[in-house]
Amino acid sequence: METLFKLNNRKMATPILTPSQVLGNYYLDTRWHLLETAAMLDRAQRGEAAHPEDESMKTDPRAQLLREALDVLASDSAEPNRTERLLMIFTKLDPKNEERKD
Amino acid sequence: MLIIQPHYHAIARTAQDYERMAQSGVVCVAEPAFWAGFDRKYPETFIDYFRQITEFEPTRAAQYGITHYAWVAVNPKEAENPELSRVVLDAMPEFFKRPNVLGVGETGLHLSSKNECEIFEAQVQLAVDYGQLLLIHTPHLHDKLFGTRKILEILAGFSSLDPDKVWIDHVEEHTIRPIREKGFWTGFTLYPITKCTATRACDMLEVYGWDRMMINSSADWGPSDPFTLQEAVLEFRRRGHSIQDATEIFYNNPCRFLGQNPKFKFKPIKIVEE
Repeated sequence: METLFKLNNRKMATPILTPSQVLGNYYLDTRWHLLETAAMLDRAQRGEAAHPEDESMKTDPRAQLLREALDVLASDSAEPNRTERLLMIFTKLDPKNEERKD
Repeated sequence: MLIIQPHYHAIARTAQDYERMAQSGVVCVAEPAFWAGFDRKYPETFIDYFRQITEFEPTRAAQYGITHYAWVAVNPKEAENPELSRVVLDAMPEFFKRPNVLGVGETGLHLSSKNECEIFEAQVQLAVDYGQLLLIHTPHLHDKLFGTRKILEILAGFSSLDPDKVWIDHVEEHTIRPIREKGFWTGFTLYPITKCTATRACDMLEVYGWDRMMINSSADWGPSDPFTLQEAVLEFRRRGHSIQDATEIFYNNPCRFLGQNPKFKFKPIKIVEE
């Protein structure tokens, strides 16, 4: 069992990753996701220029939800609950959720 | 590492998936009945589907050394047809007797319509009446929050229901808390785009602990991948968690929940050093 404890030593000492470890492990992945987001917004903007009659980025509720989500990511958060807050924003997509509050 | 895949739609997957799962530590899968991608017209089609997952699919899995279990239910989408659903429900108790059937699943809600709620309640009652385990599907995307609340509301009406025998699946950050508070088993389903990812599942494990938690890949006919489960194992281990803790989540917890049905033969294991 002693050997097992040594195997687990890192977990015992730091059951949650340090911020430095989080950056080390996830920086490139997060950079990739942010670039994908930026590219999608650029793609839509080019679409607006090419198809000015399509005002979806102004009128489609999904575009508004994406903007709200980006605001959450850009702001400071007192609690580590950004994922939950984004999911609550995306829950608004179904208008029935407004009518059917319990 | 030994792995149990507790939610896997084998009929939608290839033999190569079985082979690669077996090569990467999977020794057991459990297959809930689900939506075939179209609404079936006849109750008999369900019966044949139940025969497929209780008779044929175990033989296919066995060729790769994988033990196959199944669940039977009318899924939430087809519960929109209550007449058909009632006929199928009448046939389900015969399947509870089959050697690889673990319980009623996956039932639950999709759009949370009146018909869906009625058939969901009937299936919860069936599980209670026949002492079966219960696997509950929560809705997709923006319907998930409302549907999860509705499911919890319906379950609260069953005073004799033991929460330890109920597994609520496809949980995300905005739905996990009330499920944990009520003492139900909690499932994360890892999908490439929707539901949950390996990293988010590991985050929730670190926040809430792993008592009564299970992770699965579902893996069906849509965009999905059974190996997201192995991704989660790797992610969990990369963060420095022990192989014993990984075993608790990916093997022992399925043993603990599914093992409440005596037909389930696998038992929790402990990693020891000689």
